[in-house]
Amino acid sequence: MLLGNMSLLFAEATGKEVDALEWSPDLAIFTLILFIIFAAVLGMFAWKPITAALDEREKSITDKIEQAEANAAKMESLKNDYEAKLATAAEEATQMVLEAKHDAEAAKERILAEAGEEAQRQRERAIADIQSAKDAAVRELAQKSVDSAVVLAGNLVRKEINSDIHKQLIQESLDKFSNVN
Amino acid sequence: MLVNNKDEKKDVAAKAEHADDAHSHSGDGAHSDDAGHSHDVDHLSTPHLFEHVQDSNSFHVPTGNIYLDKDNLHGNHVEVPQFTTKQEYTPAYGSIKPMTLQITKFMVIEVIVFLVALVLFGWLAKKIKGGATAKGRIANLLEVLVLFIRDQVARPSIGKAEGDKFVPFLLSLFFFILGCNLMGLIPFMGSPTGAWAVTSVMAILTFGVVCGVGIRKFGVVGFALAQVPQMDLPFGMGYALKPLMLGIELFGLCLKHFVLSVRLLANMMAGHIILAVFLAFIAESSGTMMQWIVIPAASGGYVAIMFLELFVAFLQAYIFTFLAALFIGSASHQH
Repeated sequence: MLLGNMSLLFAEATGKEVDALEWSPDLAIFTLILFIIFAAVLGMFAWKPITAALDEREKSITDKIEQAEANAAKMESLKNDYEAKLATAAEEATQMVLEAKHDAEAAKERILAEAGEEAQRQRERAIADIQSAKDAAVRELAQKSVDSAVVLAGNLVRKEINSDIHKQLIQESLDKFSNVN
Repeated sequence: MLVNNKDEKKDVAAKAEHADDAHSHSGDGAHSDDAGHSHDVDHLSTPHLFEHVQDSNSFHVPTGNIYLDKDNLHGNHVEVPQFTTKQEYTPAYGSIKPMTLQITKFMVIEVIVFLVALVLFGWLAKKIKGGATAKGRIANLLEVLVLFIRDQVARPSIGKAEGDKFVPFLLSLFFFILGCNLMGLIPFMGSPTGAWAVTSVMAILTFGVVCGVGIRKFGVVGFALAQVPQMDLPFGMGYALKPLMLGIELFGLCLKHFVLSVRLLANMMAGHIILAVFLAFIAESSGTMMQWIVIPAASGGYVAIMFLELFVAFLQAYIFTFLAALFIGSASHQH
């Protein structure tokens, strides 16, 4: 077979047998035992802890990615909330400004109306005052005129008029005046 | 084939002698090459090249000055301490060598690989405990390799849930083979994966895992029958063809694992023999005028092949592990 042929070839060429497939039972048994010890010892002190550590690391990385994704989603929803709140606030502010303008307008209208009314009232009062003052003045003027007329008439007739006649005369004059007026 | 026919025909006797006692005999005139200078050792002979690649009872280290000390052109051999005297406990049979209960260079290197892996990965395990991130170049490099085996080898070949169960086995396979491959790139060391005893044990273990997975999942008969592909055969033909196909498929299953072991062995051995050839060119040409051309050329070639070997060390460890994962995957799924 293959092994025999190889040995033979070397043997023919060199006169001394050289066998590439030489198989030493000592080395084979030693290797078998050593490899089993190698696999057992490294399995216990290296492969098992290393694969466990790698798995743990993988898990922690996966967890962290998941957590980051959850956080990102949370942030997104928070951002949306805030944006909505900001939009509402802006609308509210506009509303408030509009309302304030409206209120101010109303207040202005009211104040103007009140001022107008007040002015009207004051004018009317002034007119009434003027009227009453005029009446009083006219009355006083009539009084004075009567008095002067009486004095003048007394002087003219040289005759003393008593107080009752005086008063009667005044009253008559006034009545006449009033009727004329 | 890596054989220099011209030299070998000339020096069969000298080489036989050399192989038995390679470094102690002095020049006896038995060998003189075309360049006209004499060597005791034919560096380009197959046994000599293989000696640098295959297992031995000693580490080969350089000592002295090769120009002054021509007898010791090869440096020294540092013997691995032994607990027993060399004795053959079993007869040799073909490629199977006798059992000698001797501690060899490759055994020592395998232990070094084990200890280095234990220190490195024990350290990594502590560093990333509790899901901490790997900090520093070495920790990241090791982690990349571990993750590669898990995510690119185990999971795609076997499936995520089931694949994770085989990750420790595949990691052990990958790093043991990678360590053994890389040890061959360190001067005066060697690649245990260049010995069939080592690669065959890796393949046999893989075969055991593959059969274990299949039998556990489908039972002995179910696993055997799962090897036969599903076919629409006319009535009666199935009874004739299926037993034949079962035989072929079961043979194929064994053959796949045999090839698995030989692929790794051949790759590692070939690379190291090429490196040995470049060194042998230097040794052969030393002391002649040719050395001024050969030494720079061979050194450049040696460095280039070392880079290739560095790549092959990773590639072959990956291929072995990937195929092991594929075999496990196909055993755990009906096809």
